[in-house]
Amino acid sequence: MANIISVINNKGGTGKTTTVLNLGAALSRKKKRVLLIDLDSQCNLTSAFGVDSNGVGIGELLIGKSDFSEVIKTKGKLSLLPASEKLLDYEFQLSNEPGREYMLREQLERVATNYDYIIIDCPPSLGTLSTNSLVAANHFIVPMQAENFAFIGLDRIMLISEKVKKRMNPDLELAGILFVKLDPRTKFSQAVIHSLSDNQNFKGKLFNTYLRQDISLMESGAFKQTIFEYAPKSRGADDYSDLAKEILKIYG
Amino acid sequence: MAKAKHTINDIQKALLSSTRYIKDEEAEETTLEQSGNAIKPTEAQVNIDPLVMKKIKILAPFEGVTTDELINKALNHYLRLKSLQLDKAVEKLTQE
Repeated sequence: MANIISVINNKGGTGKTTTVLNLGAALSRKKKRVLLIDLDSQCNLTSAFGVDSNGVGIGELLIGKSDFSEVIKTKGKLSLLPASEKLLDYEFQLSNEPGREYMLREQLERVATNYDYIIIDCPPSLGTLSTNSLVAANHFIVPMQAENFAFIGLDRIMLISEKVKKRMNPDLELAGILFVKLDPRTKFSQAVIHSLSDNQNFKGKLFNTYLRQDISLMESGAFKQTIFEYAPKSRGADDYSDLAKEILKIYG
Repeated sequence: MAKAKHTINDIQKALLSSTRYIKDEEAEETTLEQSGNAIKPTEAQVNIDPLVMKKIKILAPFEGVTTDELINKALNHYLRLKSLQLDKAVEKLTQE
């Protein structure tokens, strides 16, 4: 049964898509069967995977217009449920559907045995699709920069995830907070890290791995490659490889 | 003017001041016993049953809207249904 991980942060530009793509690639390099899901109507993960966002995608699957085999795309050992540009319209349609929070979960239950890891790229909002991802997931990762607005954003995600856990998905757990573009030498970064590491709610929930600033990560997405294809010896490749090792150590 | 120098502790206090979960505060929850009278939202001119209002407050964040927006959305939906009922009634009357 797959470990379903939602990568979520309602703040944009925190490295959600980059993390989903490269963590997925790192896990697949460790012989894990990995499915990535693009739940963001901006289709950035879909584009970085080299898939056309005008085709059918997760939106069509959720409303029952297409089935899994029509939607899935595979590249090497990595598979993707892409997003299409119509995803926003489908999200609106879903908002009137009874039990709409469970629609992704229903779809994933059918294929969960085919994968070791399913990693979901959430939109930068806490609407229907993000809630769907938290209801479907066992774990969630919050990538964040060590800064004030990200800190407030994390607080909001934790409040929402507590409600989802209480009312819809008792299995949901925070896998960890992943610091991105972190410079641990600054006083501000240290204050953010201390505020969380000293807090009982986050005990053991900060990944030891943090992502350093690396231009190769930005470039690799533009060239529709994972960091391991584009710059296998870069800091980004090292960091995502370490993150995958840390996750495998916890979940196997 | 020189920038004020803050310690890590000062920054931590400032960071925590805008949080609820991280600060370990209980999320604001009103019990049904506490809310005796009908609640009137700020923009919609309608009295709402306290139990319904409590559910709407829970649902609104999941929908990504404010409580008032959700109430207006629900009212709009209800009024559209009423309008359809009226259309059908008129249609039936004209057939008779």
